[in-house]
Formats: sequence, structure tokens, C-alpha cells
Amino acid sequence: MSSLSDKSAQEISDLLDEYGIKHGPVVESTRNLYEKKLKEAMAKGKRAKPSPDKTYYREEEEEVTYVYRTPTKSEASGDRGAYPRARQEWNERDYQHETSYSNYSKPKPEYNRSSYGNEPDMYDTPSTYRSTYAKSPPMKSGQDVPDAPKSSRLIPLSEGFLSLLHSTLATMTMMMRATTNVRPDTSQLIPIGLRMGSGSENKRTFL
Amino acid sequence: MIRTRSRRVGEGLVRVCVCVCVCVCVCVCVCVPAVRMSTTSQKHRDFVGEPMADKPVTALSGIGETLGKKLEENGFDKAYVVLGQFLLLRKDTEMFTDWLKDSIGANSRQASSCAQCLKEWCDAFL
Repeated sequence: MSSLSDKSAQEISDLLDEYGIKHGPVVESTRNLYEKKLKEAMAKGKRAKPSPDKTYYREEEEEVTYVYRTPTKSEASGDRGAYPRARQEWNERDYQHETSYSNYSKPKPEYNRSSYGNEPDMYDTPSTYRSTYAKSPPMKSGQDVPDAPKSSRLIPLSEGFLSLLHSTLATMTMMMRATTNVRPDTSQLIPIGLRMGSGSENKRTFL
Repeated sequence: MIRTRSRRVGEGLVRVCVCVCVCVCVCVCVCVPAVRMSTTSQKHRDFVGEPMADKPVTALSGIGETLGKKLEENGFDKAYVVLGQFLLLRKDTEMFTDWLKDSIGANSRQASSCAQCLKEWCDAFL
């Protein structure tokens, strides 16, 4: 196996692309770093070509809508161990992509976990997949919406505070209304009380 | 009358609650951004607040004398040279952090602080 230091800059760049490592130009100051990254990627296991397709997959996934094929459910459940597809709608629309994926090398379970550490729930080996499938089928549809914004958490934080503000303002307005509702009653009661006071003292005891 | 007294007390309580809610809202609006600000050091704010010009590497957040000397030994004698390296790595903070750890032996906190400092500088001035 030729060492990475013997390779040209272009070869290093190509290898980085194969492993899906985003990189800049391979120059003197960056070469050592990229060689280390490649060594780590190689040590983790060969996940060479499909990884760039994964990015395409995500883009395609956003575009493609439901392709509902009921007979593929039984097949897809068996295939899902090999194909990391449980991202959003697992039943639908994956089958076409799965056929395209079938052209690539099959040992993917390790690749699934190592490549996407951010989303462990989505890509599972066959042993764990069904357990998560069983646990969270209702959550999958619900997780779609919150998963997207999780990538940028700043926005939901501000939204949370806005909702807090809104709720407090709502309570405040309700209280203000309550106070305004109370006031006319007291304004009415005071002259009544004066009249009552001028009349008989006995009636005060009821109040 | 007892009723008017109780109503007045109720009104007072309601007003107190309203004031408390307002204070809570104000505090939330003020304190949270303040908390975010306090996570950056004075050095960070000094660097990010103006063009770096010819500042030395020790002006970077997270880079003290020891790390600064190591950077200079590697040829990075000015902050803008380190900026150059950051840009070569496509402004990827993670990659830059790894590079700092490998090249000069920075720890995670120092490296991430420097990366964040450069990233914010780029967002402001680049």
C-alpha cells in the first residue's frame, strides 16, 4: 500500500472527495492535516464512493415526493439494513433510490453509523433498525419537522422566547381585562355603598 | 365594605402579578443575549471588533504566549497568516481546530476559541 505522502496533491484531493471529506487546496500547510484525515477515514473502514452520493441523496430526497409501493414494504424492511434509508418516509419513494444504491458495495452498516453520527436514529444496522422501527414509527413523521430545524438551533430558541413573550403578554392582557372588568363594578358599588350608608346601618353587616 | 376591600386587594395583587410578568419578560429579553455575550472573552471581542491589520498571533483568542511561539516557529508570525490558513481550510472551524491541535498541540478549548474568533472576524470583515 503506497503511503499517502508519496501521492500527489491531486491524488490526495481525489481521495478526500471519495471519502466525502470537504477540503480546500492541498498545499504544504494543509497536506499533513489531510493525510491524517485520510488515514482516519481509511481506518474506519472503506466507505469510499457512496458518501458523495449521500449528499445527492439528501437533495433528491427533498425533491421527490411519495412513491407509494406497498409490495416493497416487505422487501424494504429487509433491505434497510443494507441501505441507509430510514430518514423521512421509509415506506415510500426509497425503493427507486435503493435500486440505484444496489450498484454500490454492500457492507454499509458500519458506514451508516460512522458517517452520520449526528443522526443515529436514522441509519441503523439490521439488528437495531427494527427495534427503533418498532419504538418510533409514530415519531418518524413527527420528527421530520423538528429534525430540519434542529440543524440550526438558534431559530427555534428565539421562537421559544417569542412564544414565552406571547404567552406572558396574553396573560397580562387577560389580567388587564379582568381589572377593567372589576373596576366598573366597584365604581357602581361605591355610590351604592354611600346610599346604603346614608340609609340604614344594619345593611352594612351583610357586606 | 369588605367586598370593596377584598376587591381592592385583588386589584393590587393583579397589578403586582402584571409587574412581575413584565419584569420576567424584560429579564428574559435582556439576560439571554447577555448570557450569550458573556461566553466570549474580552480578547475575542477585541479581535473581532476591528480589522486585524498587523496584529500578532497572540492577539487571537485562545492563543497565548506558548502557542504563539509555536505558531511563529511554524512560520505563522502574524494573525493574518493564521487567517490565511483558516481560509485555506475553507473556513471550516472543525478542520481548523484539528489543524491547530495537530500542528501546535493546542487543546480543544484553545483551538475552538481561536476558530470561533476567526470565523466571527470573517463574518464581520471578509
